[in-house]
Amino acid sequence: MKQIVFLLFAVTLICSSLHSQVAVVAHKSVAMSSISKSELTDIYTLSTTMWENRAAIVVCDMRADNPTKGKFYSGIKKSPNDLKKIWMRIVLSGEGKAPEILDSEDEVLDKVASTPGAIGYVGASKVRGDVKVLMRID
Amino acid sequence: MMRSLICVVVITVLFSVSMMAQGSIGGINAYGYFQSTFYVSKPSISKANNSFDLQQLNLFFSRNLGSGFSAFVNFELANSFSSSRSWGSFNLEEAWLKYSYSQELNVKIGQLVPTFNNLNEIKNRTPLLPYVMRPLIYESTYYTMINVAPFLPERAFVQVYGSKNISDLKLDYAVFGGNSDVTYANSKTGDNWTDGNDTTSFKMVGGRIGLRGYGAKLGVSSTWDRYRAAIVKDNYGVIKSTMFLGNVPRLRLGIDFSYTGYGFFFESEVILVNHDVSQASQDSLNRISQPVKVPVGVTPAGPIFATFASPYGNSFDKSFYYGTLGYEFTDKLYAYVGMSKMHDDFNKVFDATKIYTIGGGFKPVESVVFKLQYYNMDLGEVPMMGKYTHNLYYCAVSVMF
Repeated sequence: MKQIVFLLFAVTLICSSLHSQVAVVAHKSVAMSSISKSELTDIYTLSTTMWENRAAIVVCDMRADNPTKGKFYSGIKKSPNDLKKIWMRIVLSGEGKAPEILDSEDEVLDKVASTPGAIGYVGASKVRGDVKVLMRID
Repeated sequence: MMRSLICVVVITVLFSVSMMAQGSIGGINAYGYFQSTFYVSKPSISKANNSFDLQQLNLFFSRNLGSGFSAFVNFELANSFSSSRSWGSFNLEEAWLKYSYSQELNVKIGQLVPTFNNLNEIKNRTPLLPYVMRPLIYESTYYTMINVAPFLPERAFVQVYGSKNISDLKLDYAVFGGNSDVTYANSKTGDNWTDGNDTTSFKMVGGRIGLRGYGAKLGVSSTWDRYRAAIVKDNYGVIKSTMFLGNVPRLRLGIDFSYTGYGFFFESEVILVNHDVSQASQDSLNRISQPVKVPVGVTPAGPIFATFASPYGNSFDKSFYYGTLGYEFTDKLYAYVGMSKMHDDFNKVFDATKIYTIGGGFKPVESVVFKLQYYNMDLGEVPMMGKYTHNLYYCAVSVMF
């Protein structure tokens, strides 16, 4: 009985942890198995635009009202307003293209799973087997 | 029914827009922006007026060519451009090919705006700027009145640049090259259009090195080229015929510092322009900078002369600095104050020009900014003209599409 209670408690703890965590996911063609916060920040500020194999990075973002977005941005220590200004300067200078804005975590997963070189973020509990997890942000 | 549904889906997909409202046509991204204004102008020595104006419209075309290559074209129409009325201007501002090997190494070839200080690359990107009227030498409206070309490298034709991570900081670097000063280019004479090509064998080279991190950005920029020191005959009676004082080596030095944090934003720049004139040219400059005797009346005994300060100084050197401090109350609402000052050691009419400005803006949606600005230009005591000030009140809307 005690073991069952302990098991239930552990599963609940793991599930709630996954529920609050944000997973950074990428297409399975991406060679990296993990990513650092500074590398992730460079990708989302469009400073880095290619993977190590020189394949283009396709960056995915979510609409402002998604709670996972807030946790992700806290994790990379940037505000949505900061990134919008950075992206706008890059786009208006002709130096790159702003990330694609998707409506939901399911759309992010579909986009990342089907687009070579794509990277995005979703709630950890939403991760599917057709994407690769590079990092988890608490 | 199914066919109609598929058509609706296809049309919706084709006309869907990204956050930045770019439209892709066969792989080409077409986008742009415009800024429309209404202003009230109150100069101290002439009549007040007010006007609507389509200050600027820029059309961009970009395309990712694959394997690290991309192309970009920028057309600009300014000041209510109308070819039938000969209003405004229509320019090819940029057309370049970029090869990006990595974050550390990028190359651009073609006509481009070089990296110099903070504002040079984005001076015409109105959606990025809090202002309607920019800090003095960056304000194209004044180009017909104030010769700002000496302050800024406006064009280059090749640039190598990149950035490197150093701990939590980024080191930015760029070197560029282009044609010599625009005064050396073939220009239109009469009805004969020419090619704008450089007629000299010497060129302009320059670069910038800077550091970014923790919301701050600091950089040093420089260019070297030559200045065609031709002083044309004037109406003051000081320059009686055009004088050519040589192809003068010119060095520009720029320093930029900006900071964003805690809701505040601060931008500042200094630009120094130094000319290395020959002794013979310096003697000519010393001569024309002497006080001028001008006949102001006639008596039976003969003409009466008055002495005025010469409108010319004895050096081509110039300096400029500006600072802007602003605060973002929310993501949509901001306000700022700013000042800029220019010294022109040669043209005394515009020496000690000061600008004070206050303004703000509101973004109801991401692609639209409504702006208000008060702009005070003070030229001080202008030789042979007296005290000159100019008050301008602006409201504008800047739209990205």
